Amino acid sequence: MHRRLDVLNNKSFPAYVVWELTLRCDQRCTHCGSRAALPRPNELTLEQALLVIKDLIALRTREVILIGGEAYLHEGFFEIIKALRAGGIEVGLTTGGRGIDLELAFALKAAGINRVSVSIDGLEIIHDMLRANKNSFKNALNALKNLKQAHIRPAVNTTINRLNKAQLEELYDFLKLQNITAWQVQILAPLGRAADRPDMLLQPYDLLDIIPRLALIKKRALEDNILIMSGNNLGYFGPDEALLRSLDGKTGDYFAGCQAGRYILGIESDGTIKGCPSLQTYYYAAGSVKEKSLTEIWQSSEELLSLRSKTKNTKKELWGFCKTCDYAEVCQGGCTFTAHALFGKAGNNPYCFYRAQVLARKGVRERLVRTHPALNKPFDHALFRLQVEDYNAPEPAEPSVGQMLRIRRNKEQA
Amino acid sequence: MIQCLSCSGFIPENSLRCPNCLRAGNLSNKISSQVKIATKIAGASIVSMTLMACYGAPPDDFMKVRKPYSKEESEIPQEDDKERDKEER
Repeated sequence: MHRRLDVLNNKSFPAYVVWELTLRCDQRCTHCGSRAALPRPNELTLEQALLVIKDLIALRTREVILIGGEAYLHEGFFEIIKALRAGGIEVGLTTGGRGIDLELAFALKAAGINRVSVSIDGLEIIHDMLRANKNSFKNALNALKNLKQAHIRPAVNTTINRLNKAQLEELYDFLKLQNITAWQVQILAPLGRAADRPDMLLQPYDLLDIIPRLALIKKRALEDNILIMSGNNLGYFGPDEALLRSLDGKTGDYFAGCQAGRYILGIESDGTIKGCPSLQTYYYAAGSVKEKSLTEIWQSSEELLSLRSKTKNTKKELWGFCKTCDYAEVCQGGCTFTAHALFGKAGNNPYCFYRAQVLARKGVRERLVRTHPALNKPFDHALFRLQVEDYNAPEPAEPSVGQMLRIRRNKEQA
Repeated sequence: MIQCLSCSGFIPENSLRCPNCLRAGNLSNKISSQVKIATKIAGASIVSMTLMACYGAPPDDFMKVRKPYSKEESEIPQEDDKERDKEER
């Protein structure tokens, strides 16, 4: 199986690559980590992209997921897919689905794409609000329908946040009716535009409610022949870890540390290389394929070597709760970009089921409070502090959907 | 790591009890160790994980272990899977 591998050996290679082809996007999602809208200056041309593909083939890459913005808005989109497929690399697409009409769906199939993951972040009202587009939900459903007609396996991915967390069961039931094959769920990290909206973010203790519910949904999904998988930033090490992390729920998988730069690689549309597509560019950029070959960057960049050495320096790099955690050696502080997005450095991640459970047993919980805003750049982040409070402290009133819509309208008018 | 027989949570190597359900892990450790050895002998890797990324997509690997759930899907050509199977063999 191409995405499942032994991560404890020392032979790193970019097995799974997520490639942002362009930052140009046909939607302006309110929680977009890369603040996608217009293309980056100096995005890779088709010619430059084909050189990158040669390196990916040489580095034994197994799978590339194309993202954006909207990857299909890149001028060389189909040629890039064909070149990857010709090199024996699996190609997938993650998309908002707005532009996937029947013609594009058949063209994707003809180019060699076998599956597409459409982002659906809630039922219609919530999804459309998050996507800042009244017809976004209908467009996404149309995309699923068109993909099926073109014999492409449709999957869905959802970013869980405070607005949609109550809808998970209902959303699963709805997606099941759409005949999806797989559903990836992750939590909203305060990157990009999401960092501008702290009320939308989950609080760490929300995981005590969300993860057991997801586990129940996954049990149902296995019966329904639908795969549900946790993204890297949803966890960690509660009783449902193995169920949520295993393909069939039975193989006893667990989060074995961040694999950024070890088996995962991110490529930004201007050729910047990172260990993971969501890592903060200013801190984790390992070089540009415009200056060095991808092979050279992969083998010798200090940033990637540093990510790879994490397993050896686990205790040294962890801080806060994660440093003393029972699972520190294995977990290594969870998802690097999520922790970095909160505190400006990795190694202490409050978005953790086990941590929230330990604190709850002591009668307390952690609340994230934003102290500094983000800088308005792709994959930028705000800064937060952790406030420890009584577990039953009153919850600050959450804005209703109507209030959120009014806030957005006011901001747009301003 | 081994799994607690009581709650299914994982028990770190040096722990004497399950950090999740707080039950003593000695008995389950012994049993699970035997299971672990048996699993190793069977050739399955217990340190394997499925690579994921938050801007990525769910893995396709599951398609190999599930059955088509509809007539429509069963008609989807699976040539790529056959080729990949050959390569893996």
